[in-house]
Amino acid sequence: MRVPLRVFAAKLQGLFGQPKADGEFDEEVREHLQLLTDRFLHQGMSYPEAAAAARRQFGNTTVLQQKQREMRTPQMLATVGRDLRYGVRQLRRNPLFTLIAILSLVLGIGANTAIFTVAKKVLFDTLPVQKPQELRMLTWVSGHERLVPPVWGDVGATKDGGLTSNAFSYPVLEELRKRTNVVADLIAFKDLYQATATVDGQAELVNAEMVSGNAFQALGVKPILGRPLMPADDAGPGKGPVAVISEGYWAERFGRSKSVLGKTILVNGIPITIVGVSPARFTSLKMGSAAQIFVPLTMQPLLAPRAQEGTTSLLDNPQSWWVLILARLRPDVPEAQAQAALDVALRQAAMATLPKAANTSQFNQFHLKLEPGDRGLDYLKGDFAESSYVLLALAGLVLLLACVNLANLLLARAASREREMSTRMALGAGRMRILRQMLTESLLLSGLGGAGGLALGYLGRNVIPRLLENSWSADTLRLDFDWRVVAFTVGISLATGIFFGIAPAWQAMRSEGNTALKEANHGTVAQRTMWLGKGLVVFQIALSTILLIGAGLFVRTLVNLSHTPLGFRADHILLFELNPPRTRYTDAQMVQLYRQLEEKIVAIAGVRSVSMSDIAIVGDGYSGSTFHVSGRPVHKDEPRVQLNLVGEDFFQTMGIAVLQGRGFNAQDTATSPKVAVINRTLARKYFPNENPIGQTFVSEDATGLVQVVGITADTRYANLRSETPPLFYMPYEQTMDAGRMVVEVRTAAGPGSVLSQVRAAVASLDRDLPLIGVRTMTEQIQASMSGERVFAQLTSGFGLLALVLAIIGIYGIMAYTVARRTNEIGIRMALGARAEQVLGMVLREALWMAIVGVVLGVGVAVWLARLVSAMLYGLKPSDPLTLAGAAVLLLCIALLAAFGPARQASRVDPMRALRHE
Amino acid sequence: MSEERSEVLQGTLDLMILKTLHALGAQHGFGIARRIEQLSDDVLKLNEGTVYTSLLRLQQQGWIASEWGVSENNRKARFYSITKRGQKQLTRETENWERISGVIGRVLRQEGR
Repeated sequence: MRVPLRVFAAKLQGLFGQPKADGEFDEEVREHLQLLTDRFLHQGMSYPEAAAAARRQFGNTTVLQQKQREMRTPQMLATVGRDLRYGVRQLRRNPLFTLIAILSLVLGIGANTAIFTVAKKVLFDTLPVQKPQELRMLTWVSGHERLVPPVWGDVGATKDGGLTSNAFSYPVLEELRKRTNVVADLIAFKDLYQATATVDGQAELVNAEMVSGNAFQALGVKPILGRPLMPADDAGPGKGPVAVISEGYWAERFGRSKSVLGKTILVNGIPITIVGVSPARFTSLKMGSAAQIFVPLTMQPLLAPRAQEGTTSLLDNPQSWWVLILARLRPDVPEAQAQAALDVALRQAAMATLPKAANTSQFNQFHLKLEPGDRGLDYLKGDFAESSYVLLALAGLVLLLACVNLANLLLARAASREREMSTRMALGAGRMRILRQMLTESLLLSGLGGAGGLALGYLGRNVIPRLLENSWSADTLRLDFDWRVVAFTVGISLATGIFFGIAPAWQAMRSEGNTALKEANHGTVAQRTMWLGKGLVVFQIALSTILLIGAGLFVRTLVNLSHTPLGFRADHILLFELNPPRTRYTDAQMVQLYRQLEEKIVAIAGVRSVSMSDIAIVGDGYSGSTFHVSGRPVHKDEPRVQLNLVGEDFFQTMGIAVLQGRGFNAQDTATSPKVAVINRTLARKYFPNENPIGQTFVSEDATGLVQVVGITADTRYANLRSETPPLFYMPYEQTMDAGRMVVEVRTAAGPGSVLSQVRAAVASLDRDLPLIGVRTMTEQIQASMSGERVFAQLTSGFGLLALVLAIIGIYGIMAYTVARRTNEIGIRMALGARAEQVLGMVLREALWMAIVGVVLGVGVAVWLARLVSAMLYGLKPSDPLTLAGAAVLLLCIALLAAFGPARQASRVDPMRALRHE
Repeated sequence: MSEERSEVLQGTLDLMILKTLHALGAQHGFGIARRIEQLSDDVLKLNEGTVYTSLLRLQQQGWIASEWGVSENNRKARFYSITKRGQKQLTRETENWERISGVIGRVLRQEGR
């Protein structure tokens, strides 16, 4: 039966337009009375008699009106309103309690909201496109033998030792496109990372993304201005010099002017016409990234020429695997069928174009595989999923702690309100009524806390991304503070309200009407309450211990990392990058530019030395190569080593010691014999029992034999955590592929002091060549620890919060205990107990709770810390110093918090305590 | 007042109003009160105001609907009419009433030992 529902709906509707309904009812009643009066007048009564008789027959209009009013609206809401008013009055009567309660909830819920905003992006968000769940990322898998030539992109290992990647060659893409009858669309894209955009003569770095002409339409992304990129723009190399720009770039660079359409800007020196503006939510096909410019994929030869085998175009080069492909599945074609059809196309294309494929037994392991594509190109999950889970868990613990704290405060208050509750019950309030009142109060608290937490989370939503980003790179994580975050916050607020309200409400409900009204039970009553309260404090201390140990572990990790010996001198080094556009520089011209620049910079006063390298060590990535010592047998799949292409004075500039042989010098030129310097790790690994100096090797990055001329000390390389990898250095002039280079300038005074002269030196050689990512070596190393720093900061914050909450909890319960036991203490003192004994008794009680809590907390923390052991550095999850530190700190805090109430207890005047009875 | 007049049971009044509206079509509150008075031969004692409580309840349950109109002596009045749902409810309630009153009648008529 839907009748009750209908009645409820009618009553809800009745909430609106009460006055109108009242008025109408009045009118009805008046009319009725009038008719009755008329009738009585007809029967011959006088007017006053008739009116009185009518009123008698009709009944009491006021009572009726009241009844109608009650019936018109849901009564439940009215009582809720009454409960709320009463709750507010209760909270205002106790402002300190209320402040502490709401503040701890605001912090707990705010922290959770902020972290959920990040975690949502990292773990749950999908691309802001139409039906993202239909998208699949195309990948290939192969056996361990490398069939596919070098890839511009990532190659990873599969579980069974094979290789996998999502990079395809353009000719393969074209073959796959012929099979589009099995999928709705194939969307190809590639991010260009940084490109130089020149708008009205002003050059700046932007993130650009190349997409296939069908991308906007296939993804269902409609431009907010102008038109999308179209298949016609993507018809052939250089056919579509047009771009769609992002809403953010439009606002920031063009002031949202409509005249941006048709405007021509230079991208990497190539004129490109802006034809549209993409909507704000669509920023990239790479998760969490923000591109400013979208250009057709076929613009690659012009915008990002890559020299390979005599051509700069990748579009007709089957040997270069680089383009990323998303497929949109057709609802009527099963995924397996689509995969099988695309696989056939891939294998045919590979067989035809890859020389290695045709004559290897491993070709049958080469297959196309569809992976989830709803997040596009997704590095976020891999990079930050673990951190997100850990932070979510820690923030959850903080909230739990705040809840327990509040439960305890409410419990103590409920006990002191026992008389009130008993009175109310004696006056006829039902248990459910009291339960509802208590829950209303706790929900009121959590509601206020939730509102504050939401505001805090909103203000803090960008804190974590900002802590992670560095000053010199443009790519920042974009977060969306949307309805899901609000829903999350509302959800946890409600849950906390119910969670911490249940125990006190239950307690209040149980209070026995008549016993509590009698005053004579100070000594013994509420033992149950005490135990529950103490249990909650123990739980609280345990939670605080866990959070403190977490903070300790991550802080120590950061400290250990920053004290890692680097193997070079990081101070007084200025770093910046140069990326001379391929559109204007050949390899030889580039080498010449670098040479001239080195000469110009070293001439600046205040510059000790200058060098360049492919990789600026620690925090600037890495680049692998092959290393095969001449005369040794060739193995399949020889392990790769690291290669850094450097300038002549690299070791001197960076302060890396040359242990044996020599570094590079002016005699090592493009035409002289090829030479290399190896690091100690490589020397030990490849030449354990012989002298490496004078030995020769071959590498995929150098033509002909290369001779080892020196050995250097080991340095930290890709990051601070990893052990030094085997590494060899070669002069950049002697390799085929110089490109982007990092310039290192060692200065006498602060690295910033020479910046303007360095800029002038670069400009004197090429006015249009921007200095990219100007920073110092120290800044770069600091930035490489940004994740660890954020962790140390956040977990320290959580730890501090935990400590404060623990203090409040212990103080609260001890003060309450002492107040309840005033009688008992008075009797003890009357019987001869001294003040110190009473003090000791209270402190002992607090200490016992703290010890139980700490032991529990340490146990759980050690068990939990195993899960984060991979994130730690230089210490074990069960680091004794951290564990002991946290334990001692908490025990001290517990004693300190209990000291106030203990002193109060020791000053109880026996006479007064007993008279108080 | 006569001692023989009986209090009206709440649910009964609802049923009577429903039946009245079914029989006479749209009526205002005064008309309903008159009709019940007339049919009950003054046996039922009725505070006429309670008719309106019943009317509101029936309306919230969806058995009847109301509409403002003009009464026979040209005054503004609210007219109540039975809905389709109300017709069904009336059938159900009538059967129910007859069954129960039959049972109660049998119980009351039974002979003592």
